Amino acid sequence: MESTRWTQISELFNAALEQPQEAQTGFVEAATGADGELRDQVLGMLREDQTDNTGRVGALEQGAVETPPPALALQSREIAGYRLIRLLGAGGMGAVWEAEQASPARRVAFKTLRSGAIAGRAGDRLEREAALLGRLNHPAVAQVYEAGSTEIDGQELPWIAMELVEQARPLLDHARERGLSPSARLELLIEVARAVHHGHERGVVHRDLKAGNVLVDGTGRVKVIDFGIASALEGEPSAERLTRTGDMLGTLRSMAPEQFRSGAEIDARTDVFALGCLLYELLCGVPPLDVSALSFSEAVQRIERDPPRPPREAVESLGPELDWILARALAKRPQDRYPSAAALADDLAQVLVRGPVSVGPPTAMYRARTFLRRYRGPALAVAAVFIALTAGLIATGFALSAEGRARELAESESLRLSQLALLPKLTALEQRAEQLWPAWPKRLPALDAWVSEARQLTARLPELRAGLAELQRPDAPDTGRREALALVLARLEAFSDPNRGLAGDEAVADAGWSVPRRARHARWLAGLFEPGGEADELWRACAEEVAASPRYDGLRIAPQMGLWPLGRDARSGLQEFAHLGTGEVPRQGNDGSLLLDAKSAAVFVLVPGGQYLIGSQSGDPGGLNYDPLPGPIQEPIQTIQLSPYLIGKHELSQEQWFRLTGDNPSAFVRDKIREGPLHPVEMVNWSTATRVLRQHGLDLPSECQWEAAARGGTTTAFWTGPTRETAIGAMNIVDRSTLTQGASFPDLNYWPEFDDGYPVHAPVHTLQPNPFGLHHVIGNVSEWCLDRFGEYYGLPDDIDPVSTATHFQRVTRGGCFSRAAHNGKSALRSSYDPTAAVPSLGVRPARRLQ
Amino acid sequence: MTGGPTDDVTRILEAAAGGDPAASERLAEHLGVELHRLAEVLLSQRGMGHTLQATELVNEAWMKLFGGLRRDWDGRRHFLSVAAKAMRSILVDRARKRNALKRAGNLERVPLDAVVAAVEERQLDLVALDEALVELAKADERAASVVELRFFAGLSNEEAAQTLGVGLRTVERSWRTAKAWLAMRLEQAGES
Repeated sequence: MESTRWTQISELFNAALEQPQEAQTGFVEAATGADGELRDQVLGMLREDQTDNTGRVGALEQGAVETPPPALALQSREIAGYRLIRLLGAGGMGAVWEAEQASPARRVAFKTLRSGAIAGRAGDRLEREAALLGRLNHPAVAQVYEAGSTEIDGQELPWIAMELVEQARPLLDHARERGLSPSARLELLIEVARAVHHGHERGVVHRDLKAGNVLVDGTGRVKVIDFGIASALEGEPSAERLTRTGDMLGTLRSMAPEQFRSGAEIDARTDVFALGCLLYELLCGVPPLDVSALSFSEAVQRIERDPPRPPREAVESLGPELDWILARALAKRPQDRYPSAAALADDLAQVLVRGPVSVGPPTAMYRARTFLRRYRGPALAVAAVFIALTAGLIATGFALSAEGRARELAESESLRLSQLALLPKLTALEQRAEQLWPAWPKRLPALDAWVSEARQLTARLPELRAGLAELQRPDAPDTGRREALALVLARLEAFSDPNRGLAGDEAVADAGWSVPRRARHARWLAGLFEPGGEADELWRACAEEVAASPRYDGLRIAPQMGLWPLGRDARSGLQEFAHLGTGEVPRQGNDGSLLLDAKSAAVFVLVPGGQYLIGSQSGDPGGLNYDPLPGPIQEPIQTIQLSPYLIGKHELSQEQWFRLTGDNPSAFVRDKIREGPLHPVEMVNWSTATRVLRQHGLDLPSECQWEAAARGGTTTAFWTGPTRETAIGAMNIVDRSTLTQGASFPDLNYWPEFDDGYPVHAPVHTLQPNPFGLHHVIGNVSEWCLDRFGEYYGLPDDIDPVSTATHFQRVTRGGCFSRAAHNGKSALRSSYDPTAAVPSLGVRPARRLQ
Repeated sequence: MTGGPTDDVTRILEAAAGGDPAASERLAEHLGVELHRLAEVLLSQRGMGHTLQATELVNEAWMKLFGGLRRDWDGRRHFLSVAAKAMRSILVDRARKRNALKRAGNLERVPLDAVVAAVEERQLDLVALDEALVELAKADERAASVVELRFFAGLSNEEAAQTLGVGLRTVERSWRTAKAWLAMRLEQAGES
């Protein structure tokens, strides 16, 4: 192709793009005249361009994923105590990382900002703002933890650490992908509005509530991110900032007119406007005003002047009230909008239950119309009156009485509508319950408050049942309201179900313990741990013993909430504890040995802090941690530093898991294997394991913690010695007995004559413990670790290192009943997807000291 | 990430950044090997059946070879231009070879196939794309470079503008025009 030809094509194409779409073809035809080839080419290009990034243009676009290089250079770096693990996204302002904080140990979203993104003294300003934002505490608001500015490679790098939203999807994408119904969309927006209102109550305006800042997490719950960040950065959005951020469109789309006027008041009503934009796009699929093709100043003009496009059918199916609600939320003047996000949420909730909203023609007419829709049958007479009334054919006296009738209807209605308003309250309680972990004494006031609020809701059950019964009479007119009430009733009944409900007394269900149960547990712990309480007494003795023990190098240990000191294990010399949330304190024999049964709690060993040697080497048979046949990436040996920690003496049993979750997912359950109790729980994936453990103040061990404890001070390939034969009596691996289960695992070929007597897993306390008192670190079930699988550590200076790898898979350790002996070597590493549930993979819990 | 870049590669990159065409070629060669190797490593960690993106490989290669260097380092720009070209050439070569092997009914798999497959899944014919790009380059070399950087190295418009040393608007315009033209071209190629 000649470059002159290309110039023609390119210029004509770009000129045509400036024309309104419907005029483009005519424009090109006029411009090309007799040059049919040029015409066809440019028209072809315009057609491709208009596919709006689907089709081939989209495929070309997708080849380009934004990963700005300056951000990438931060991969694996540690900044102010956060290790950056994975780039989640990047834009003009900077990048967002998944990061790991050492203390408290948690994953966070770590936002790094381009240094130019902040006005004034970045560090000071950010810290001050972060302190303010830290006061926001709402399940639907991503929590801001901390902010600051750190010098990296000679440049100031401002950063903000925030709550990590797991499996986040932008709200609009979520709604589209799931094909959510209009009312489900409304419910989500109500949640968003309430979250935003929470911020307003604490004096924080979001200011940048664009679609990308409202996420839905993996459990379908809304999370508003970047609350107040816009003002933390540099006051109001400006043309200059917008162009720099590269997300001009996303931001412009939801900006209120006053945000373009210097000196204009920015308050809650600014966010109300943005919520209106979000609502509009959520329902109609397009933003209220299309500013995408405009220059900045044109866009501002349109936002200040043009009314929103009329909403489409999606809105109509929900009723005319939504038109009015949108009109009020999107009013150009702040004083014409809803005064608060909560007021908007309330009106939207009324639309859901088809009750009267606060907007619309402010006359009895409107209320009457609402009732007409809801009481189709008997209201017909009233309707006739109103038709007559509007036609002006009825005497004034009659009209007045009709209006009185409408008011009366409205009042009797308000009681019933308050029943329907229970729904958002219920949702709010459910969300709050997620935060009420672990069930420890310090959380008692919050737990009690929750329980009493829940009682107020459940107290209305009889009234709701009666109301529904009335609506179910054959002559009852209004099916819409009956369905709505039935929905509320069903939700409330599930909520208060004694066996499965969150407000049930004893319930242990999908969400874990019910809140009353948590409150009871916390109260019980409070008694045990108060000064002079039983546990407190034991802890005093324990702390003295630990402080005096050379094994613990003078460690001063404070009472660990929820753990019951069992004393020193005679063989290992290490302190052991029972975790009171997982069961009863196990009985002990005269020699102090544990006599476990089905009711027993999980037992933890206190592992001393210090230096540990992990990994193996295959070069020097006389050297430490020699292993002539290493598995993948377990060399070289490394010295790591661990602070004292607690790790499970046993794999978690099926009974213990059941007590925590109300569920036993294991493939090999007691009936099937005809054995006694205390078989290890399996078929638990990594994500579930960490979620459940964390609810109870526990966690998975890091890989370093696991190996240090599994070695128990030994430096041979197995803790029992250099060869698999030394481990007989301490390991349960693939063997002849698995054949009796009808299973033939390929690993059997490694050692066909071996028989350990256990077809699948053995009860968790069966075989010989290692020098630290841990059972079954060789075989039985393999065990999840916290770390992502990847390169070895290589960070010798770190205390309590956790892998910096970015891979999806998580480490598993310790071999299992279906694999050969070498999988149980102390340094051998393996991995699984965190979503994998496997019959040969279980959980050994751990806990850090407080 | 442990260890810095090897001195050897750094020297080559510096020479390439200084405008030495022979050094650029050697860097491309070096990268070709590295990209193949990285594809293998990434896939073995994730298992077959996963796809890889070209941009991921280019960034991994950068991290691997120069990860310890200052992030504002100018050499990154030159690296990206070379990497984009290297990525284009190895992907197109592989796609061409796959087509030949498919016709022969004998398809051995190499790790880079995952990248090729990821592109082909989107109904893009890499060989036809390459041919169209050659034609585009004759008429507008810069537009072709923009496509290389955006598509094969996964850069954003801003980064492509920085790498090429031109304005953002220019890149945006070139990218939109080139995309539409290439799409139209591939459409025609698909029909014939």
